[in-house]
Amino acid sequence: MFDFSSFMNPTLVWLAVGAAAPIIIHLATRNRPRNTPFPAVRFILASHRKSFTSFKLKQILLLLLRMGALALFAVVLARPWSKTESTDTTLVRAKTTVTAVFLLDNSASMGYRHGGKSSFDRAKESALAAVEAFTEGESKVCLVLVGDKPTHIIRDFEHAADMAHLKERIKSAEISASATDCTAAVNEAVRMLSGEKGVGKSIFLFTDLAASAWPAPAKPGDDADDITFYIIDAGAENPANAAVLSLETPSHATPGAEYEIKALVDGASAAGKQVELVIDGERRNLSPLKGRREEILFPPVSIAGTGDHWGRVSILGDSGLTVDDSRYFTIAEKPPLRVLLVNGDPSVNPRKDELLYLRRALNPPGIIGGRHFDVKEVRPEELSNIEFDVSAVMLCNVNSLPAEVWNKLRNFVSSGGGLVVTVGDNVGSSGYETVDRGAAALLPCEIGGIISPAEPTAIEPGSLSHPVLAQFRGGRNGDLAGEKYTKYIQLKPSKDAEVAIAFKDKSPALIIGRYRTGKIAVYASTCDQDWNSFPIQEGGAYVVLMSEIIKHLAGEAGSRAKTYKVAEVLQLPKYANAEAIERIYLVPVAGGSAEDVTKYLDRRNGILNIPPMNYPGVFKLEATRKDGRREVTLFGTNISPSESALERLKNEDEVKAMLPGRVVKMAKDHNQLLDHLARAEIISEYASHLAGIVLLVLLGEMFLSNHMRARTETSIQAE
Amino acid sequence: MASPEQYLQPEVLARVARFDLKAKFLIEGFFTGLHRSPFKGFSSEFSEHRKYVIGDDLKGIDWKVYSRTDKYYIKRYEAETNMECHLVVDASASMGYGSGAMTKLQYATYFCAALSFLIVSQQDTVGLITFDDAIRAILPPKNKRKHIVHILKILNDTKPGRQARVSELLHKVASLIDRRGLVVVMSDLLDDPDDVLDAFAHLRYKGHDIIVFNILDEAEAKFPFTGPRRFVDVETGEAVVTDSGSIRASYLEAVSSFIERYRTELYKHHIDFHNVDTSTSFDKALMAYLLKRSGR
Repeated sequence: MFDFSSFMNPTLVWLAVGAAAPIIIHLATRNRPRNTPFPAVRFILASHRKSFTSFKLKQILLLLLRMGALALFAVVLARPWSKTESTDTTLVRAKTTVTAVFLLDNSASMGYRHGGKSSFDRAKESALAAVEAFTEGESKVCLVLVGDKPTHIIRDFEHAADMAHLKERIKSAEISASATDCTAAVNEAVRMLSGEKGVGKSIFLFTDLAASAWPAPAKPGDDADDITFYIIDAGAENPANAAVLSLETPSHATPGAEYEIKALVDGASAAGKQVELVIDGERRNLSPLKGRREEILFPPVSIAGTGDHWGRVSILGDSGLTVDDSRYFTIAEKPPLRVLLVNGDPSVNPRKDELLYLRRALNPPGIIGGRHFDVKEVRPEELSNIEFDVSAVMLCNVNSLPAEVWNKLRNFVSSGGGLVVTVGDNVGSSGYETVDRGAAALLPCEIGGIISPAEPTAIEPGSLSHPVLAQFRGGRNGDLAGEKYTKYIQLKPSKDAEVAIAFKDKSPALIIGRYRTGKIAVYASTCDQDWNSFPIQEGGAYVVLMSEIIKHLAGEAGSRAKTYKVAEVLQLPKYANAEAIERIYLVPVAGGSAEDVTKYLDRRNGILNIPPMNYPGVFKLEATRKDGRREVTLFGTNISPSESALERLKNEDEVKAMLPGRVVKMAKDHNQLLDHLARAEIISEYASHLAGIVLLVLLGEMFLSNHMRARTETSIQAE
Repeated sequence: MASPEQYLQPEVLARVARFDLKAKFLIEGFFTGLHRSPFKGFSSEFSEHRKYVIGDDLKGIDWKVYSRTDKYYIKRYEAETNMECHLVVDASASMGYGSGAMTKLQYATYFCAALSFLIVSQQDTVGLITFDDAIRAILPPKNKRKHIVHILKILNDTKPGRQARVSELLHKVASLIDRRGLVVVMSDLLDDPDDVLDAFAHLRYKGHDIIVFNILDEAEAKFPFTGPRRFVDVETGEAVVTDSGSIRASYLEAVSSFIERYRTELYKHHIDFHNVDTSTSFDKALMAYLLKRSGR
């Protein structure tokens, strides 16, 4: 009948070894019999035969009573319980009175389907079953949805006694695409219960036990809380979820340019399935999945056409959790980058001109469908008189510049512009003294002297980790290490600068740094072939490197994040002249009804404050102006990658570690939960009965020991 | 070693001397002439007067003295006082036990001293028989005061150490004493009561007036022991380990039953039974008995 694994405090059962204490005390303190010569032994013998046996029995009974009292006391402290075998369900599952908070996890991961139901469906079933176990009119239950932050459905206990209303709210709860924060939800539930004086204070958490849902342990328990935690596991034991975990996509596209898109895919249980890349509704690629986590680099795609573009990477076929099978992205149209090339060594002989190779690299002939760069060439002395209405300025072998020009460049970079410095015979440290050192240095390094190594050196590509070198990874676009450098300038990088590439002798070849909101790159060699053979290398490495340097320097000045997380606050582009906007509609690109969101437009500052999106996808904002012009903006939302990570807390100990100092009971389903609830009633019965038995045993011990003592005293007094 | 004279305590003897210790029953050869003539058959020489006490035969009243004094006195004749008293003392090992200042034998010796003095004082003779598993000493009755010392010397020199066979030796005493007299038995009677009672019946059958002083030690009477004890019989060496407290009540009940049985059974044989324990001073015990006996 008693299951020792079902003691509320099983470790206290060990106190029962204290029942041996009376025996130990008896053995340690018993007196050895003293030899006593006595004439009337015949009377002793008769008395011994008559009364010693009963005395011994009484002594043994006394000992057993004392041992029993100690053992029972330990058992009472351990709070045993047992199930009553009965067909009468009202006995087995007695209703219980609670003052409770239901935490219902409705995050994206709860959509995982197993056994024909989702974890969320199971959670709701368990919650509804638990409500049936509560006493009507006496129990009070609040309801909170657990997402990335707690959402109150039934907020306060004054209005929490209607079990029918509670059941309705549970049934009508919907799953969301948000992330989970069980820690915040638990802390909120504890806050709600603090100060409540009802009986059976409890928190019921219906969740899938995803480890990612617990960013940190909840606040430790306080003895005064007296709150019992019931954790109902609605998740699958061994979830296997195929998901698109993340994407690397260009945020902008220049018409005609090609771009690479990379996806991190967890193909667990998806072997043999495929992943597709779709841009603007058109499939661009279909790749097989290997059935494990892998990085898929789609072949470069060109983004053609004007306006914003959208795309998605999707795992085809069913998976346990479908909300993370696709991940969305948007690409904004962007005009060619405007670049100002400053020729420090012009020549009437084109072959000797400093910019011979660079201008062709930035505007390669024969491009169909658009240019990446819009290039303008000037001489250094012209810099004083022109506006830097460009994205990047390249100083190519420029000897020196007047202070006012440096100031212009300083302001230009401060405002987000990019500055590239390539060197040559004209460049010396003296020409850059004012800008390459000190606290106000514009350049990310000091310009040193010219180095002419005895043997030509070459670039050491290294891990190609810098974003500027992304296009060379995987052996693409030529070999950076293949060219010889006969000369280079010694560069001493400043503290915060990055050495993007170095020579084989470890000297920096390309240093990139920041100045305010802009970036500066210093290339330690010429952009022509005076000091190296790079520009004439076959394979196009020079073109790619120069293009990437400029794009990298100019990229941040114009970038805008257009993909958000589900439930994230949207920071949409401002509308210029918002007073002239007549209507704005929000339309899901995948299909669905349009929603008029004009009411969310703050016409004074042009900001559209629509609520966060609750599900993933691509959405179009179609704004119509009074003059009939239309503006379309795209944005995408994706679920948090953490919701795809269905790895669970491994065992009960890990769950309890998230709820330090709390009484925690785990249930795998609603039957176990109901057993727990019923156990509470049975435990109190046994504990109180056993306490009564202990009292009776102690009274019996007192009576017997007094009786035996009184007999002795009476016989002495009689004499 | 203490001297025998220590047992003769003057204040006790002075008190004892006021008593008469007479045989309750007619003794052969005594008072045979009371009904016919008190002066025939034996020496009936007038010895002395003593005060009349209730129960005395009215025929013994000296009316001449009454006429002179208006007080009743009994004539005492030599033959009337010529009572043989035998002090039969158990000198077994159990009588050598004493938890307090004196052993039971020493206590009995004090009794013997006082009784001897009383008996000799009333012109009777007193003798002594000591026994354990056999008769150890016999002193024929005599009337001399120095005989008392002799009695006491024997008792003082007696070393109890053997097992008593009370019933057997009482039978032997019965066969030893021819002439009826007063037999005072001093023993703890720690023997089979049936056998002892049978021996007493034998003695009574011989016509003796018997007084039994059942002397127990204070410890035997009250059992003051506590805790676990290994009680060893001083005579047999038999041992029993028990818890004193647990058996106390039933032990005292057993002793009480033992004493009561003797009292009841001996009463049937008109034998005086007096139980004393060594916690009561012997003189008080003896006085109490003599008072009780003289009041009959």
